[in-house]
Amino acid sequence: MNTILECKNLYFSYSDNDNYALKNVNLSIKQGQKIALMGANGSGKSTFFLCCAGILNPCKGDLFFHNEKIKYDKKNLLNLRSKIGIVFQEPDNQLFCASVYEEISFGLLNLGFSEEETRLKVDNIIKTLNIQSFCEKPTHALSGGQKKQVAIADILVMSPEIIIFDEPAAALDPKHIKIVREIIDKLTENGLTVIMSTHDVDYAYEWADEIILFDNGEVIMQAKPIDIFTNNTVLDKTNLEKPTVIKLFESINDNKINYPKNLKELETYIKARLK
Amino acid sequence: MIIDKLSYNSKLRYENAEVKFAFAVITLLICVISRSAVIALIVLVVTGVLTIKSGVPVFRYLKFLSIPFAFLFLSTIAIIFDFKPFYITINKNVVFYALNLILTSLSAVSCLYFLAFTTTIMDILSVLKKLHCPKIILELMLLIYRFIFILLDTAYAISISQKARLGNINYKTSLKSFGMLGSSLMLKAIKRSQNVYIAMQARCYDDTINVLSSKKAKPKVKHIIMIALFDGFLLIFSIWSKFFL
Ligand SMILES: Nc1ncnc2c1ncn2[C@@H]1O[C@H](COP(=O)(O)OP(=O)(O)OP(=O)(O)O)[C@@H](O)[C@H]1O
Ligand SMILES: [Mg+2]
Repeated sequence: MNTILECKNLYFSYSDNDNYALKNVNLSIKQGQKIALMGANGSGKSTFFLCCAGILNPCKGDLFFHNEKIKYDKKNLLNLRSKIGIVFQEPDNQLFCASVYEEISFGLLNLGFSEEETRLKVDNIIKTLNIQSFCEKPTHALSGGQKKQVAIADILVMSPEIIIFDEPAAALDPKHIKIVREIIDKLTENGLTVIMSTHDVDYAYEWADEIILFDNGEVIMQAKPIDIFTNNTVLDKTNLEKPTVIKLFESINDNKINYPKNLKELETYIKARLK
Repeated sequence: MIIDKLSYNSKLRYENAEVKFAFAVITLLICVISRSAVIALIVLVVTGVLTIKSGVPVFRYLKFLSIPFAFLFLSTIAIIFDFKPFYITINKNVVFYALNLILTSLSAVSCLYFLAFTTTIMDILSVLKKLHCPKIILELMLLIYRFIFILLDTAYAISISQKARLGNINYKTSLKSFGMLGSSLMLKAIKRSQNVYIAMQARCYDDTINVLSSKKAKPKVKHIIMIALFDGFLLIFSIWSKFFL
């Protein structure tokens, strides 16, 4: 698989002093991977996302997209942003139009699609995400979960190569979390690269191909979920709990190999042992 | 915001916006230019009935009309009474003039109410866009419309949290709380605008806001004919009454 996004010695600071929100970030993300970013509040996940889309300009270090160094002039930035879509943590910050339809058309028109093409794509995405029931409502009359779905539609319709979800489950009820996760699963099946920040260890363990751990603006580990969640030192450092599956498995099993990947596998394992 | 709720629950919401807009504006112009009490009465009744039929409760509609009415009433008092030294006089002609003024203004307002109660802001904006209204004004209207609601929500949440901590226990504290609400709302608005700008940039925003509104119903010939007949009648009647009455 090709590397799609890469950072080398990336530093970023919101102020001019040495108070870095991102410190010496080195990581690479391969095409089609499912990446979960984890780390305490204020550890720099959202800041990292804004750097990826070229909205924040790093103080030091370089970002590479498809092995090409990102250039910070207008044309290149617009091109980059058409390839990397961000679904923001707070939908109210993202949705600025009066109606859902207008909102979804905004990105497409910016990409230079004609009116007919735009209408076609907007209608399509409304159908795929199954949001017809509220697409005639004004934005401010939507519920939080509905706003989130519109925010996702906004980005999906632009068909980016990488989709970044900043805490997709924030402030959603279980039903809406499920809806959002199903959408994400559909995307990854189609080979999109999905990067997501989340605090949900169970979900990250099951879903992600790789987990990147942030602590105080630094990447302290990038590895497979199983390696992260069995490494007690990094878990302690970032205040992360172990996923339930691992906890349960470790409590009934002494030799710590062949961890189950999800609840289903754990269930088979337990059933086999009970026989 | 009750007007907004009424407009997107209106039975006429999905009718063609340009037709509604044309009806409201042409009728309003005829009303204002003709300055005839009879025409004003006809328009008041017709737009009133239309608005109420479209789903606005009668009582609520009258309440909405009473707002400009109170305003008009107070300002016409100054016209009706003539203050001379030692006398206050009333002239019959002036009273009729004032009545005429009140009726005309009310009917003009009722035309606009018809538009506001049956047409959503996004439809009105799309009509204005077709009329080549300056882009910057349309963008401002769009953003203001959206963020009024967010600011209202935020203000409501802040005031609740102040009340929960006894921020209104006495007059002095509630004044202070209100001041703090204002200042924190200001800060939040600035922060919010930065965040929205960031999110817009992330979607390739390039200095102009381009959006498409959903496809609207085609104008119905029946409605156009009815409007043409109505406004034509008003026009002929007003010309006739000007010259022959
Ligand atoms: N606009 C800003 N101006 C100044 N400092 C900021 C700004 N946004 C974030 N920071 C600081 O940068 C650091 C990283 O913040 P960031 O929002 O990236 O964290 P996060 O990992 O996304 O946290 P969370 O899980 O709460 O979303 C924090 O210390 C924060 O205080
Ligand atoms: Mg964040």
